[in-house]
Amino acid sequence: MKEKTKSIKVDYLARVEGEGGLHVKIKDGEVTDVKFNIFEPPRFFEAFLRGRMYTEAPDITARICGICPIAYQMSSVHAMENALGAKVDGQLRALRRLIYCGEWIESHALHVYMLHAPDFLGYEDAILMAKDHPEVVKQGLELKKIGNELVTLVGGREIHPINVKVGGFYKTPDKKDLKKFAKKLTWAQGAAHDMINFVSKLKFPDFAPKYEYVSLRHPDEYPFCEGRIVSNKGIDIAIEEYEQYFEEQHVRHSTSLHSSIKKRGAYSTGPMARYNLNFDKLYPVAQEAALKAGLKEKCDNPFKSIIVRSVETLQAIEDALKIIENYEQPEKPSVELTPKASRGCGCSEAPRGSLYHRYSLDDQGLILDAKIVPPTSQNQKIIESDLWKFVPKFMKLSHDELTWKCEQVIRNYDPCISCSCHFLKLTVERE
Amino acid sequence: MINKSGTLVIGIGNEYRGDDAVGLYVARKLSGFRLQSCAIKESPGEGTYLMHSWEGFEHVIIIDAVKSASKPGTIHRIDIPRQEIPSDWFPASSHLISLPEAIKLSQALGTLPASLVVYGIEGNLFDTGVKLTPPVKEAADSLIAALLNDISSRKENGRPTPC
Repeated sequence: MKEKTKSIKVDYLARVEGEGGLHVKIKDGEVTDVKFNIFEPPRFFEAFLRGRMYTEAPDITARICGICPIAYQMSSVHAMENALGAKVDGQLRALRRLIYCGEWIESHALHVYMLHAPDFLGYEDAILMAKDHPEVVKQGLELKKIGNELVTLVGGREIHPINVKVGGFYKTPDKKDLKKFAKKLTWAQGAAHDMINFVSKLKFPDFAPKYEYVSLRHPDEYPFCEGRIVSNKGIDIAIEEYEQYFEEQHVRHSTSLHSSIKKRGAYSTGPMARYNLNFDKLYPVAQEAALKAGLKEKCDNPFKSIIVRSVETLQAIEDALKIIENYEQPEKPSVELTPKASRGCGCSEAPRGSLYHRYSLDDQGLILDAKIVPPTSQNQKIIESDLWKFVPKFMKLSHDELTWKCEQVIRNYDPCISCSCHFLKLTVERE
Repeated sequence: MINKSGTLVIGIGNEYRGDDAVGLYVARKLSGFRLQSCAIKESPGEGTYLMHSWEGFEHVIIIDAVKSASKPGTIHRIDIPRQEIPSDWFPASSHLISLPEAIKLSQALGTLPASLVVYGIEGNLFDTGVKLTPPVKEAADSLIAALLNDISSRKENGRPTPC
């Protein structure tokens, strides 16, 4: 039989944060290899945290990512407080949730409107989409701006905020400033409903693999910084037990470590996991909006993550409004901590998924070692797994369409390659 | 309160990456002159922030480091929308929406200022560090002098003038 070889090359996959590559190999109509290559050089954050004071971790780790610095700050402060036996509660705890709401709003709005929606509408990028749908894009930008402003209000500045510290904050916001800001959030409530309505009308490929989802679960709230790590296949553990159940492996084609569940393999973290494991913790208005948008209480189609992110945006806005309504400026902006030789873990829900930190400290509070497991490391295996399943099912698509869809499979996860260790080069090779 | 009929100057850069900080250097120096009818901002260069910053302004000046293979310290003046901004001059941007993309998106949305001039200063070294290299600092100082004239003459004439 005459051998046929086809290859598709995309030198630059736009609309993902960071640089990496993808190679899909197809032989005799079957997928024979999938590699999600991350070739961005390792950034050594865990190494240069060693020897620094525990108080420096939130500001150092925030530099890992310009989109989700709050996630890094929150996971690090909770890990340090876990190590030092401190408890931050009341209004300080509420303020932490408030700043996290800001990050979810800005990150989700960016991904839904600017990075993911063009895929569904057939535009190469948001610039081309903006020419036909200017009001939609303007609304997305305004929502993102409100998220950024909320981060600035609590955190001092929108990128790499400077007001978060182990034990609380350097300064707490005035009640009147938050009340004033609530007006913008009230506009955002309406915009989030429009957002959900807009994405619910998109066309989704028939693709729903069965996943093991992993996220935090809190008894009273949709998860941000606290709770137990749970999965839909029986995991229900304290954050401190994370490393007993999850491991990281080095694979040759990635400078970022691959996470997996020990003896089980790939799992999914992020909005889809949070939604599937915590639907009952969403506010009724968010539940109602999700169901009205066509989602059920469980959803396995990763392309519908665009709806889930929109629902989570509404949830974060509702949460922020509630926190502001009940806000009273605390007497002290932080709690006191005393350094001691210790070990502590923290996990929080970054927009892209669970972010685990673990630190060991000496008796002076110097960091002896650090471990950081970002969401994109955790989702790499499941991205590859999705491609293994997706390509055979859509093999009849033209080469260009299949390539686009493969890129979209990756963008479903809003990967932040910069976080995990920039540029995605995609090769689909057919033999 | 910033008067949007005035001039907005945005200096872009990362102060810890050598010559990449040149936009911030120019913005900080200009801030010292307390210019009337002129707002000055610093930015790490995130596109949506830039779009929100310049919305409603009629006259905007942006200063950023570029890599175009010209001699270090070369000052490129790009008059938007008359000229197109070369996307590959800003390879150091770590943002999903870079300055060129923000300009194109703003054009598509009809929110681009009537006058937007980008001054790109050719960088030399973008390594970690907090010092500008001599040719880049020299170029930045000469641009500051020219911008002071530009902004002053605009105030007097009520219109932007090239520098």
